[in-house]
Amino acid sequence: MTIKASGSLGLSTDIVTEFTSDTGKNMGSLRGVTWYKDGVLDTGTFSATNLSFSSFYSKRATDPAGAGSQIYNTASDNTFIVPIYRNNINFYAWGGGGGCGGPGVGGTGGTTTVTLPSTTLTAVGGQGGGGGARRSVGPPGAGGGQSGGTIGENGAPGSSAIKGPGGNAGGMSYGGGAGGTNAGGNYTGYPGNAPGGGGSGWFGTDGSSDPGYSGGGGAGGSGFSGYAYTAGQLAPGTSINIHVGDVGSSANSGPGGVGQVKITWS
Amino acid sequence: MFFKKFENGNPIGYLITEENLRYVLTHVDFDTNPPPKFFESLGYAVVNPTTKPKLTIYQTATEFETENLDGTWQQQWQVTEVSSEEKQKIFNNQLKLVTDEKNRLLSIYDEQLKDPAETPSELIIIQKWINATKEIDLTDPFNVMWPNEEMINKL
Repeated sequence: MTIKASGSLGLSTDIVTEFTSDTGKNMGSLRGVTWYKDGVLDTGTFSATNLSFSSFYSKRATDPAGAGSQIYNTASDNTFIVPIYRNNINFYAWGGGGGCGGPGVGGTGGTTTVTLPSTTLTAVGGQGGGGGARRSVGPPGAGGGQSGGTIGENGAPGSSAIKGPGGNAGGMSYGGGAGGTNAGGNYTGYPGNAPGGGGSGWFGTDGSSDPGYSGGGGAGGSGFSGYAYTAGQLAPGTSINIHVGDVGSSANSGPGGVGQVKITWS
Repeated sequence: MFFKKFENGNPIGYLITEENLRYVLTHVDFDTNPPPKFFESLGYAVVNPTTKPKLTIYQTATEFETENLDGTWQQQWQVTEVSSEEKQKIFNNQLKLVTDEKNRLLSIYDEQLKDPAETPSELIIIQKWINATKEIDLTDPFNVMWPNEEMINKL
């Protein structure tokens, strides 16, 4: 724990406990050791020539602005408090993937939003796959759009092929989810991967060589929106409201991947 | 453990995870279980979350908290029905969606009926699909039973 700001200090009970686990250390061994303070970016090293007990007041051994991450991956509303950070903090948002079609249309994924002081990130959910008909594949769902970010990519549309895959979420290189792939099952849709992948196409057949029903189209992947702040651009303690969009539903076991917000800092 | 911002004697905003707050209050030793009043002095209320009630498509839910005897706050939900005008709008939007889908299916089958490659026996099957599609009940547009092969084979 951070050493107190005033009063008497014990070398072994306070100082050595914080700065080293080696109780055999003396104060002189801490010359040149790096120190930090709570809640601020101040840092430095202990003097190599003039070290006293008061030199340790309000100092700590670990960086309070160390790297970290936070992920929100259930449909919900949350508040994120900006921690102290030293280099950058990044916000990445995906909506929910669309649900596969079958008999009837798959559900559209929910929209994810991140309300930043300077902009609102919006990642729209993927559209559900269309309903199939006799010898006719349902239309594929469109990919979700996005806005507000310094980086962003729309989700990919689902496939219009029989048993075709769902669309990928935008921002695959940032961790977006791939569309679900139909492994061959009849009367079965396959879910999209989180975050934001669209559900796979669905296929119905009575087992004859001339299938009567060609099933629903693949669902669209969600959009992706991201924003990066560099050092000093976003004040620690700022409240950021986050809404994570729900999956697009499917009556055929092929829902989309859930929406997600990922925050990383260093 | 979850938290909310604590302002003017009340929790506000949405839930904050403990993981997040550990990064924010780096001088606090969470493992010693500080009391709720300690966190309130730092601007955060300790909140016991509850499961959001399952809502119908015509309902919305608002969060609020009541204070417990131990100083924590209990998350509560106020469920509200949307206005009749809003309810009608939601219903109409869904009805349009399923009506458009029904009409799209019928147009596909109309085209298939005109296809000279279809055999007489197939034309009979197509007519079954048309009849089943026309009979789709849209009284509840949120719960539609779309025709499938099993239904057609029984006709």
